[in-house]
Amino acid sequence: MNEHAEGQRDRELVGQVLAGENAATQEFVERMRCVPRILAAKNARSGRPLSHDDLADLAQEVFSIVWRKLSEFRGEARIEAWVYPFCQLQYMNALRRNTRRPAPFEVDGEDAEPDAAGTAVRGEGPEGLDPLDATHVHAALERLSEAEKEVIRMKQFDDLTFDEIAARTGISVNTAKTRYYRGLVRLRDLLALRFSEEVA
Amino acid sequence: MSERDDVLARLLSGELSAEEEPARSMLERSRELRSELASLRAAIDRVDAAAREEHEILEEISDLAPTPEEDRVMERARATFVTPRTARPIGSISLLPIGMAAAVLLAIGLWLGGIESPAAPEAPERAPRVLGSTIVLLAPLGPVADYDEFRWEFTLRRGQAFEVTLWDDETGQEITTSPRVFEPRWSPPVVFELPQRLRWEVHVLDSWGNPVSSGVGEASRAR
Repeated sequence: MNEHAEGQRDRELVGQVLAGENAATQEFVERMRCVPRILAAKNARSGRPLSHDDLADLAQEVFSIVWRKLSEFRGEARIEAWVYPFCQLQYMNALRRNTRRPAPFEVDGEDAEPDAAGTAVRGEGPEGLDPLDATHVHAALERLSEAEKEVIRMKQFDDLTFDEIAARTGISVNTAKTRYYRGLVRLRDLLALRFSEEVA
Repeated sequence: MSERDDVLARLLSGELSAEEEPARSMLERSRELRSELASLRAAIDRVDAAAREEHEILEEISDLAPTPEEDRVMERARATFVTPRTARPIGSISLLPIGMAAAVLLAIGLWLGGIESPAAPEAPERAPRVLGSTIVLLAPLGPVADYDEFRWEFTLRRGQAFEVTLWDDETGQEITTSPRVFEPRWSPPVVFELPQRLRWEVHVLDSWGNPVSSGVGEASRAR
């Protein structure tokens, strides 16, 4: 089953969960096992700065966010892929709390809105993360408009063509390209705010 | 979109190569355009790296066997997952607002039940109390041999669910909150050690997690 078909199947599951169907809810809860696993994997890749207890607390925070945003799930990807950015962002926030450093732009993973450009942080890794860590990309993606974020995720994460993106989202191919380009420009600027990057 | 932006978009999407017109001549003429293209490609590279990591991690976790640590997280998660209103890490609860809320609920319950003092261990079995609509708590109430299964009566409407919260009646501390349940009964996981004196509360939640009805009961278990 391809990613899109899985996403559609999961959309049905989520609909049943929101309707209060017990069996669907139990299945969904079991699928949320991906949350502690994603956090553990991310923590391992980052050198295990967080303890088991920290990760357990973090998992519960993610669960709360997922439940609050569940009605927004549209089935563009399977549940685990939809949940993944929430894990990334909460992981970043947890590291920030641990290192007590202010982030140039803060994201709570819920209703992040574009703020004015923050202070550039040059040559270091906020929150203790590698400056090129993928978590920063997810944080920057959350700062884009939903339309731009959606197209960039479909293009770069799901490897879709613009024709496929247009067909799935109901927009024209030109609109998809415009959103992609503008989203990339904004993304580039957001990432550059945090780190100095060498440009050829 | 301007011609410049259109060419950049097509270059970035792979529709146009730098050797094709009009890209080739525009890039030759403009250092700024070359710089812009390079910086955007660098951003794409970072997005691609993030995408690769996501795919790798999702693939990595897909075949893992559950661990005891993970099961403990899931057990705690089931107590909070479907109740974002009450979701918070166990062990980091601020007791003051919970104590205040519990005091308010208890005061309302006492007023409705006509009981003038907090529950005493030897108090006779009392009728279930009702807050709001017609939820009726059945068991455990009053002195019991053990807390087996929590049971109550209420007919759910479509989209509604129950949520049960257990409190230590002596300390006022919350013990656990159930996941959403759709039958009028629930047993807490054995991992939770229940106190001698227990207060339990059943909420009826709508599909948004808002409480529409509640019932509060107390029970005590012989040592």
